[in-house]
This record gives sequence, structure tokens and C-alpha cells, in this order.
Amino acid sequence: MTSTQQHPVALETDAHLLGRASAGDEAAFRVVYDRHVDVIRGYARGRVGPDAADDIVSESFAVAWRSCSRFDPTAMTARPWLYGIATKVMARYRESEQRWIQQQAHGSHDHPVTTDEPTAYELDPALCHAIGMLSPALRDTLLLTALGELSVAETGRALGITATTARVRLLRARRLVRQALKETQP
Amino acid sequence: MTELDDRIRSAYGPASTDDDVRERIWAAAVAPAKRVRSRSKWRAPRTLFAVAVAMVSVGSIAVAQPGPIDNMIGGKNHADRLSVLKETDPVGADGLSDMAQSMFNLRHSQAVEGGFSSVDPAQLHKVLDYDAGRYSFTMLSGASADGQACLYTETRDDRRKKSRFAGGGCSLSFEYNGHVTVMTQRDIQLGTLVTGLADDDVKRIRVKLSTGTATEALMGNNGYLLHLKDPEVRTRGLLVDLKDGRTLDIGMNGCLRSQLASHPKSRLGCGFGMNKGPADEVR
Repeated sequence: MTSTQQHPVALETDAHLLGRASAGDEAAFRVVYDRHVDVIRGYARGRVGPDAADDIVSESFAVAWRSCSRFDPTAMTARPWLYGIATKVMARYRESEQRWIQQQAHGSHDHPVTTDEPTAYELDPALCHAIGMLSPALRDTLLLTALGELSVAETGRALGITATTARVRLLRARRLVRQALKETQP
Repeated sequence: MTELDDRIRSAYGPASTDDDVRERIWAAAVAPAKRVRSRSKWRAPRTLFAVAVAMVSVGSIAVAQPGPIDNMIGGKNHADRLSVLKETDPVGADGLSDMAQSMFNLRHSQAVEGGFSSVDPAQLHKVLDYDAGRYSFTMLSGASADGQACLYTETRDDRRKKSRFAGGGCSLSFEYNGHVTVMTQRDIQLGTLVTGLADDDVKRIRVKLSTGTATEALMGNNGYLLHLKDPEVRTRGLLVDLKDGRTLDIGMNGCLRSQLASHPKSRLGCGFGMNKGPADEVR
């Protein structure tokens, strides 16, 4: 069942749908899934590469499905929340992430590329290299803020850190990435 | 948002996901999760609550004391216990905002489609109207086809001239705590709204507060309502005085603690199915 077949449901907010999903309404959760799977998958592919990305996406939505009763009903969209979940799930894939960063940094393609979609590294290698140099904590903060369009406080909440810590990490991450990008400019 | 953020979003943007991949990820995500969810003892009650409860814009709603499933579908006709449904004529949903009407119509059609308890909005009876200054509240009730008593509430922000919340559900919890249902809605501007249905045996309802006191709720037409303007004051439970002289003590503690644990700065009220304590008779 897809969102396109459920016109009345498709008009509902994520909060409303997740409220129903928390009571077991799978169709409602499917609408949320269809709305956001592409962006979460793009995020995961950018961070860990195509192979591990789909596992992360499925795990992330599994976590979301189990915990949708905790979704803040005042939020306009579930996207930041899903980014937060995906970021936490990704913490268990640090090895994959590091491997992917190293492969891309060294131009190694011994790992089979499974689709024709361009990866973040192909789209912007300098940026990905710069982000890949960050510590996981700084990387999480930077990507979550940029992709989830979260405020500093929301980012902190998603990562389980204080807003002040999130702000410090964000400033540091931006400074390091800008510095790295400057150095790679011809 | 900085230029760097824009660049990150371009690189890490959405991946086009073809249908096969989409279905594969969905199957991997939801099938195992469903097995985990189905082990919850609250799963069945929450499923029955699902379509009955609507949330709009700001606000969360929770029905306290969801009882064991056997009690819910045992054929008790809860609506018969509310004289408002037997002795007054339906007023429909005409007095509600357009948003609330469309929400209730949508909820009803979805509930009918899904086979859940619901009330045709045209068959709703007026329970209470309450004007609290900036906010005003309308409570309507009706009987579902399977005899459940249902309560729908609209909260309007009269200063901003818009509906702030419209929602409700069919009360499956009478059998569990005996005589009342309870819903809470809370946010930083509104404070906390406690509403519910009370059957004909109930004489008075007091809401126990985090301040250690209990405040009497406004009652009428088998409904009750208490608006707490101070957002820092939390609800802790109900003291339900029955006409036969007994008082039921119904705990609501779990919901707020759980909600706060999930969202340390949550401005909301209870979450679904968090009220777990049975009613204690105190005298």
C-alpha cells in the first residue's frame, strides 16, 4: 500500500500519522515512510556508502515504528526526528563509515557500487573528504543540523547532548570543514 | 542556514529509491518491528484506540486507563450509562470550526472504513461549552454503533481566531476504572486541559495536581472539564466521588513521567496508553 493510494491519509501531518501509527496503524506509518525514505536513504548513502545504507535505513524505520509514540506531536514534520534516529543507528556502523571514507579518499573502488545513483562523494568529493576528517561527534552534529534543518537545541536533543555542547560542536565542525575546503581549493 | 549547509544538503540529498528497493527496505524495517511490538501487553488496547483518537496541530491527547482487551469488547454498552445520550437530542458538529468538522468527518470515515468505533458527527450531543478567556472549549459526545461512548473536544484560541486542537475518541476504559474516562491536553500556552466522560453514578470529580492539592472539575451532561492555566502544574490523578458515597482514586502518574523521560522539555501532556494504574477505592 502506498501513499498515492490513500488520498485522505496523504493529507495528514506526520504527527497525526505517527499518532495513529503508535496505536498500530501500519498504513499510517507507511505514508510517513514513503514521504521520507528517499531523504534518509540519501543521508545514509552519503555517510556510509550504498551497501550499508539500506540496512541503516531499514533499521532506522524499524526504530521509528517501534517508538513513534514518542514523536513530538507539535513538530511540523518527522524528518528531523528520522534524521536523529538514523544518526544514532549509524553510530553502530562506524566501521562501515570509516571504510567508506577511506575508500573514497583513496579512490578505491574495490567495493562494488550497486546502483547508478551518484554518491555524495561523487557529487562533492572535497566536501565529503572534509567531513570525513571530522570526529564522529562533530560529523553527527554538522550533518544533522544541515540535513535535518534543526536548531542547535533540537540537534542537541536528537543526539542526547546539551544545546551548548551542540553549539560548540557545530561551530567547531563548520570551522574545520571550511578550513579543509579552503585548503583543497585550487 | 549557511552556505556550507546548502552544500551539504546538495551532496547528501535524497536518493531516488525505486519501488523494489523501497519495498525491500519496508519489509526489512516493519516486519521484525511488528513482531517486537506485538509482544507489548498494551498493543491490543492501543490498536483499538488508534482510529478513535485524532490530533491536530498542537496538542496531544491521551485516554487514561486503557483496560484489558477482554473488558473492552465484552459487550458492555457504555453509552447506555450516559443519560446525556438518552435524554438530549443530537446537535451535530455545526457549532465547531470548519477545521474541527472536517477533522471529525475524516476521522469518522476512516474509522468506519477500518471497522473501529466512531460516531457520525451529525449524531453528536452537546456535553459542555466552557469559555476560559483566551481559550474556549466545546465537548461533544455520542454513541458508536457498537455502544461505545465517545467524546470529542475542540479547543479554540479565540485571540488568534483559530482552532488549536480537535480530537477525541471512543471510551473503552469505563470497565477498567469503573466510571470515567480521562483525556489530557497540554502545552505551554494553553496549560493543561483535562476532559472526560463520567457515567450517571458519578457525583463529583476532582483532579489531583502536582501541587499536592485536588481541584474540582466543572461537570455537566456526563462530561467534566478542568483547565489549568499554569503550565507548570501537572495532573496526577482523579478522585471520583460516586453517588453511593464511595470515592475512586485513579492514578495518572505514569503518563507524565514517561512523557517527560522521552522529551525532557516536552510541553505536552500524556502519551498513549501510559496510564496503567487501576482505580483504587479509597473509602
